[in-house]
Amino acid sequence: MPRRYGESEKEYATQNEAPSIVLRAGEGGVLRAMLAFVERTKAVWQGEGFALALESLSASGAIGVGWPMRLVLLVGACEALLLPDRRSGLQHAFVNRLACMIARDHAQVEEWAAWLRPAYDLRSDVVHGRPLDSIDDLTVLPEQYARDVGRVVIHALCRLVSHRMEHPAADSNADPLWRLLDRAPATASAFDELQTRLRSEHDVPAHQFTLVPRC
Amino acid sequence: MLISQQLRSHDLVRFRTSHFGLAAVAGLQMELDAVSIAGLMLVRCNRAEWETAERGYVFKDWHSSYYDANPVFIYHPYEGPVPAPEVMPALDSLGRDGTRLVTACRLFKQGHLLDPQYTARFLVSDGMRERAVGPYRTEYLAMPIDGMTWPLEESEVDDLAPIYRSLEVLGEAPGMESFSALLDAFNLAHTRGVSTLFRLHVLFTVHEMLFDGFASAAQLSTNPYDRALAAVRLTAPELVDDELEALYTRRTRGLRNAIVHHEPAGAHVDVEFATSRLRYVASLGIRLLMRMHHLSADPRFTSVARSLGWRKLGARERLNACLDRAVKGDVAPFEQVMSFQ
Repeated sequence: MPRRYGESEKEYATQNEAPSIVLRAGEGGVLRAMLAFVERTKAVWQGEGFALALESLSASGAIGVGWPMRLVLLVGACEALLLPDRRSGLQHAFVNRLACMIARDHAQVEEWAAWLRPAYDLRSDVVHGRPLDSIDDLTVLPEQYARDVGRVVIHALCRLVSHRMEHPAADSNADPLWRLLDRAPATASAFDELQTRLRSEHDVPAHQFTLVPRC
Repeated sequence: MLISQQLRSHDLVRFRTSHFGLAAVAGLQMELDAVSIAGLMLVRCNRAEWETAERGYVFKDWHSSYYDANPVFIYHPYEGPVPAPEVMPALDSLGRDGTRLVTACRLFKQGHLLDPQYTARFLVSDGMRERAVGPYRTEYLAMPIDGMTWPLEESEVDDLAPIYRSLEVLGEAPGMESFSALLDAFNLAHTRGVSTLFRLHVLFTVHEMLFDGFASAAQLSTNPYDRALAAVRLTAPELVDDELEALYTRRTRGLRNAIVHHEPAGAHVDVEFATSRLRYVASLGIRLLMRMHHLSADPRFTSVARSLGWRKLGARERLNACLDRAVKGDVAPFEQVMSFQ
């Protein structure tokens, strides 16, 4: 019988000795929902505007990439996804926009912003070769923090993809979402206005992780 | 019976101990049977040695090609049996050695290599055989046959060894997280399976890490791309041609903005060409930065640094101060740095 080999043709049998992902009982539904979401929103995330950001996210989990470079890649992906209209004030915009994308209510925004601030500080210190003083602001090991930031970014990405399905933007720089995101931290009503805009029939699926700010 | 026994019955396991680790370095090719790079042993294993580690995980399809591929392994002997709790740390250590070797090779010259963490590492201790496999576990056999190689000439061993040793010393020094991230980014720009645009994106990050974003204390008056070009002029003038000059003096800024702001259509540059050139420049810049790190840690260099006005500057600032002066026609600081023994 003809067979077609891939680069790792016997690993389906041999890598089970050290699996990197295990699908546990009860997780099938979550995975199904995520697959359906990915399939439904293909038109958005396959677009050129998402290509490099998605590669950054993917590379942040690559073998051999340590947590400092992981944070550089994650923040870079966020800059591309959430700050396409910005050329200055990047740190402020990164922290607040990402916080507003993931907060469940207005009271959580400042909590998330405080939690996210070291991510941008560390990214800048790594890129510019400075001592990584912001490590002192973390309540968990930097490896764990980078992992958690990755989860937050994935959650925000799903919400953005969902939003774009509902509101396709011809020019992403002119998307009204950016104005709403910038106003949302100020008042509860502005935050609610943002959430109304973000609400979509393409619901963001549940993740296998729970997002809780740990300030 | 293993097929190798049919094909090369005279092959014997030559290792002096039955406790050893092997890490496959995909793409690495050499004429010699074994070399030592700053204490790290590289061996072209024969079939018997390979199968000792691989157990039955040998693919019939690849057997006939094994000697064509002639893969090279890092070989690490252990004095006695490796106890079970030490197995994973030993495999991790082999992985770190492999990453360091591959990084040194990439910094030394261009070619195709794959980190052993992406292929396979083996640990054998008497009857115990353990392995750690990556996503491209057979590439150490496939890459040489596909022509994706990084040939190590005998005459290059002495030049490669100091780079490896230098990476080892800097990797063990405290407070080098940013430097490690720089190497991660450099290696990511060589990783298989990423697009050329993303490679370029990462190489611009490497350039930023090397040449950009300084406080006023560094007193630089040139732009990062001029300094990057100066690094090539000073260390590898034969690589400077009209195309490289045009890329760095006229096109790099626009290209960087197009890539970073995700508007690659506006780049107006051959991205393959730009990627290959930025890789060269990155490798030369990193090697200069490594030298500056070593000098900055050497108390004997303090008086030189003071005379150059660099007393309060870190290694990265010193590198760029040096290049800044060179751009303006003053190569004396660079010569002082390079001549310091």
